[in-house]
Amino acid sequence: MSRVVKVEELKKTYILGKVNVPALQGISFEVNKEEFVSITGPSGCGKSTLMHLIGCLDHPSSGSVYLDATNVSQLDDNQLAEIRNKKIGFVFQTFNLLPRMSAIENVELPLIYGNLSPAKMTEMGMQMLDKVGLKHRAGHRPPELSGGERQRVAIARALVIDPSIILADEPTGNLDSKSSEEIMAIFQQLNREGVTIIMVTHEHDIACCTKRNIHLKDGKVLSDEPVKQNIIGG
Amino acid sequence: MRISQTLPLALSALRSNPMRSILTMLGVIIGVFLVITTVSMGEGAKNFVYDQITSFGIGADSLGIYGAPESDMQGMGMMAAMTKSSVTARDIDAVRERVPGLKAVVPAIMGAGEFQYGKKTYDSNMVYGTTEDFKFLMKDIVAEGRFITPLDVVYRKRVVVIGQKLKDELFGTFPSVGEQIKINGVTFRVIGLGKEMSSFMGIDMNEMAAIPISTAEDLFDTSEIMETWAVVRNLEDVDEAEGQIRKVLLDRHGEEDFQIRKATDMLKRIDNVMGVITSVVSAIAAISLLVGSVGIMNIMLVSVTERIPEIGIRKSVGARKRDIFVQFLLEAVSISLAGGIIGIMFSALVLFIIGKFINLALTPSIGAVIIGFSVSLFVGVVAGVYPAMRAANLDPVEALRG
Repeated sequence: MSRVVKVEELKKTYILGKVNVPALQGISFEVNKEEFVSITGPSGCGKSTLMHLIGCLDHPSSGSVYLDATNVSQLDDNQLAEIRNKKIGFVFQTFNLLPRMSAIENVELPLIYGNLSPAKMTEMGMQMLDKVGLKHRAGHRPPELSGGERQRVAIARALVIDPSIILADEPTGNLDSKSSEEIMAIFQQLNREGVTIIMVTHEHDIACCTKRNIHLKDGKVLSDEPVKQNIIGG
Repeated sequence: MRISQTLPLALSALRSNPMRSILTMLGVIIGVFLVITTVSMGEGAKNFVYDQITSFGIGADSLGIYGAPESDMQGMGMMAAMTKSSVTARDIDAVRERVPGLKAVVPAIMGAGEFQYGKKTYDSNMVYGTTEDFKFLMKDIVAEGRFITPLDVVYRKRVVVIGQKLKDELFGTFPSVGEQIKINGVTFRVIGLGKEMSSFMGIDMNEMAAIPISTAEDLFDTSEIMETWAVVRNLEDVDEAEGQIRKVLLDRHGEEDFQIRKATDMLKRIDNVMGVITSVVSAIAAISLLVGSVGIMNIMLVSVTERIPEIGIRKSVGARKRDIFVQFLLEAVSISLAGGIIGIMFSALVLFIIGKFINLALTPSIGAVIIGFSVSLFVGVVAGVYPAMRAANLDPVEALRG
């Protein structure tokens, strides 16, 4: 199986005033295509930092991140933006939709930084909304949507660029249990269709929906093993 | 990112907060309004005066000769020549003979006359004693009848061409040409009726009456010629002709007890006055634009701060620094340009209303509109660069945290 992500001796230290705060202290692992990985661990263990580094939002202090064989740790800001625009689909805990834009406009957002015609963008956006079952809500703005619906819009936005990997940071953290199940079912379905997913969560039963779990503690990998049981779907 | 996608984005940001946008634009609106209104009114005034002068036939090709020295006070020398003039018919003959390149030399003896027809009387202080060459100054001057001929001058005929106002006052709706009237008690025959003329510099030209210059010498008992217009054949010879006329008169008078004016002097004086007004208003406008620019920068900084999460989201989906920079810069420019356009429209409206009152077609001058547009573009760019840079340089992780 082809490798999508490779993390090598990854370290990240935040400098807060005169104090150095180590967030990641040498992490290495690989994620292959069509994997569904959950990253768990207590707060402050470096889950989000790891996500930001894999997601090309931040530069590591040392070590490397490879995305589709490209060492992204050496790229400049513009090149990272290009990678984010072409290869990475983010799904956030707080949805991070633009409130003044309709659902379809939110889904099209990554595409406007490419070079597509507006008609093509709308076509692709509608396809993705259809995929998450929200075609009928395309014209609604986020404040008019329920939490679950907003997260589905966010997933459609992540999918619209056909990314190499979806990075989901606590995607169910702000949702009730019913919506959480719906969202997890969508992720599992996407994974069955071949989408590679890395998901940060602190909820055990959410992690159980994935196929592999990496457990972090104090900026290090404590365990990295396959998930035995899938509660939903699988 | 395509500009066709960025522009609607910038405009929608303005629409989302219309009151704030309008208030922010105010400085630019006032600044652009002031510049365009002042410049356009100045140009309107100049065109008006130019039209007046040229309609009177005294264009850039004409020189005015007055028999009184230049005075410190503008125009006072001209006024002095009306009461006591050093120029005589002999001087005029000398100018005609010795200055080549002149199309016509038109002398005028001016005086006041009490006009009487039957029981009706009317006082006009615009009785011109002149020659047939007067037609070089005013084209198609006669609406009815004829103008003064060389024979009228040679034979000192008591004939008069009267203006529309005089005709209305004396004859009402009855025909005037061929009738006998009295000027200062002397009987004249009306040979022509002047065409309707607009007032010139506040003087109603329709009160004018023209009589042969020789007859005027008798009527006013003077040989002093108050005003003479020399018309050159080629426009480029005006300055040369001025020098030659000056030399002829100096030779004859021995001193500069006269003055020669160009018709364009008047335009130059208006230019000077407008120049002063324009600089003062421009200074006020500049301050207004500066305040406007600071206002836009301020509101853009607020906008950047308010929209940090949006910037984070955009960056996370792949917006480059340049994309964010362009988005916020374009927003600042849109505010400023919209202010500029409102200022231009407001100015057009005010000019239209003023024009209605003073009966003059005033429109924003193209030059002023271009200046207003460019200035507001410039203000927008200046005000937008710093906030846009702040937005573009935000760290995506920090921005996503909000």
